[in-house]
Amino acid sequence: MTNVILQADRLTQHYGSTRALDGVSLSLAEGTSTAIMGASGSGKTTLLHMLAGILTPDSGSVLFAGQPISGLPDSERSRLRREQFGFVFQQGLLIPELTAVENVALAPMLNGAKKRDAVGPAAQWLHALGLAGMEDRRIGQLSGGQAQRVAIARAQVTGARVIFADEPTGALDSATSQGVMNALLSSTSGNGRTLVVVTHDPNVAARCQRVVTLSDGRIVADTAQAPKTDGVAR
Amino acid sequence: MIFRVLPLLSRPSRQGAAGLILPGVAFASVTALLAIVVGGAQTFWAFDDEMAPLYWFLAGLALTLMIPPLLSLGSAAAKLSARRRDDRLAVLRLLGATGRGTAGLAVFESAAVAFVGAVTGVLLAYALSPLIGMIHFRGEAIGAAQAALPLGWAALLVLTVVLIAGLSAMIGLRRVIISPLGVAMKQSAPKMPWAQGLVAVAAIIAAIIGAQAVSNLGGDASMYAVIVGLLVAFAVALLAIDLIGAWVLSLFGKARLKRAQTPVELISARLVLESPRAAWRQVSGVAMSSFMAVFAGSGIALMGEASGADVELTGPEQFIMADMRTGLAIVVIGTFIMVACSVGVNQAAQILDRRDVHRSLAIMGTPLAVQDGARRKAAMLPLAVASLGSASVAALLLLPVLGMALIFAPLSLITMLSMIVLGTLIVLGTLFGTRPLLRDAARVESGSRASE
Repeated sequence: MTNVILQADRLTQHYGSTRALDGVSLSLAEGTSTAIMGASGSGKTTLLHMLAGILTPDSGSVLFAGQPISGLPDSERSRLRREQFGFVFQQGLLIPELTAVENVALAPMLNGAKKRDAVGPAAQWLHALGLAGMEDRRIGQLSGGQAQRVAIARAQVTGARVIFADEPTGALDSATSQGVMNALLSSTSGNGRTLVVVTHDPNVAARCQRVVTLSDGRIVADTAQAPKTDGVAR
Repeated sequence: MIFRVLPLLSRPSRQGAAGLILPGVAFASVTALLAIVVGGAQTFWAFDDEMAPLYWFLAGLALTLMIPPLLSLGSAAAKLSARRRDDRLAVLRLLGATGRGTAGLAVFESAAVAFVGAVTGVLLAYALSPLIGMIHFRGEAIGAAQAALPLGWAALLVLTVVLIAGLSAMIGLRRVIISPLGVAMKQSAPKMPWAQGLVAVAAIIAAIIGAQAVSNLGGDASMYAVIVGLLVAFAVALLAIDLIGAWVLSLFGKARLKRAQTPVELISARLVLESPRAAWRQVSGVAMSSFMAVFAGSGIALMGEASGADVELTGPEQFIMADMRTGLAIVVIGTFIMVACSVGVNQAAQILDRRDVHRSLAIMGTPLAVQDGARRKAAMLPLAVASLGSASVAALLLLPVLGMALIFAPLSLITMLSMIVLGTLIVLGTLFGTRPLLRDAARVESGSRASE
């Protein structure tokens, strides 16, 4: 049986009088890809933030590799995010003054690696994601899709076990989206890592092995599926 | 038409009220400082003895020294205002507003903030005039009435500050006006022309040789010619420092980048290299005052030697040393406060502009200390280069004129070092003051609604 890497148990969260999450329970198996879908305000980003230890729930708990993370102090949760998790945001959110390779190397450097040791693996990741020769380009000199690949490399260069992606293709056109999803899937669940994607896009969700749909803070559908493959080259 | 939408655009943006309040406070501080200095200096215009021209010259010099930090602060404050609304102005352009209309709106809003700040600053200066009146020149307090700025001058000061803000806004928003889509595109880091650096180095060497030649003229030339010659040499050196500053800073930034092994070192070096000119402008006031501190320190040491001699000074001459010390302290404090305001406003603008990046770094698990350390180092490097670099150039310039003994006299060194330490502490205090803004920008768990 596949190991459960993340487990959410009866998560509840309120923002004022609004109930963002209403007793959500979920288990994620290691090495799988899961899409969290739902309309705006359905609670999907809140759920992602709780699974990643960014937000602590009003009630309920989150376990990572069997260990509770919701009650950890902020510094411990930060360390966990640095060492075990990777993040891909909608806009990439890379540091514009740094080059592509420096942006990727920053993640291991935050874990204590020296730059000279971090740059090599960072460059390897950029190569693997089709960005060979672009290591020294600044973020403003890259296209949206290329910048998003840099963000994917940054999320994984530390050997993160879980990658959280919040609308990773939200700012891209459909052809570029497909390329970015190919890169994201092949480098994560294709490599035995766990991928959790929040998305509005059914095409993105169709590429994942499992689709969890939220509405008004509750899971209304949870479907395992054979993920669609995509022929677009990386 | 465009002014009809002004009230709508003036509503708080996502950056909150900070984008309005910070430039307002900065303009208020700078106007208050200028009003106090100009107000205090008017005492000197009433002097009519043989020492009066020296006082007028020094007062003029003090005011001139305060202009670069004022311009830098004006530009920083206008930039912060611009950041607050560049997205809105770009939307207006996309909706069909003309370039002139958009520019008018930007200038009007920035000038309005500067006007409110400047009026507040003048009122603050008036409120402080009883305290300022207690400062002693020529052995007696100048008095509250003398320290207060005449109304006409105050109006002129407000107008000047408003003009500077308007011009800075116009320059800062050129990109919005030129292209509604290209507001925040950052392409490649600017390259510093090495020829500019070489010209500046040549000018400094020429100034040093010139100063030596003039001081060697001795009895062959009139005292007046020697003073003018030295002043020209110093002015050339000062201009050269301003020309070379950004270039030297980019060299230091590159060296730091090469050595960088930690995130703090890497990010801070890249922040400096992103715009060495902007980083230099932020601290160019310190460069000027450090340059002058060497002159003042050596001058005070020289006068200390003179007063230590058996000659008993009488009349206005007996106060000159104490008055120069007082004047120097006022200029130094004023300059550093303006630099601190400029650094503070720049830092605030940077934090507000990059709040998404700050938050994403925090989500990745980046400790606040790393983000804070990077911006602190990025601000301190230009400060160190500006203060130590320009003090060194001034010392080189004075070496042939005064000799090593006077330049390195304890009194000179104490004056120079205390100025540099004071400036560093003020800037550090400012950085510390903007830390809550960074903490807020980098907050990942605020109890507020997540991004959806």
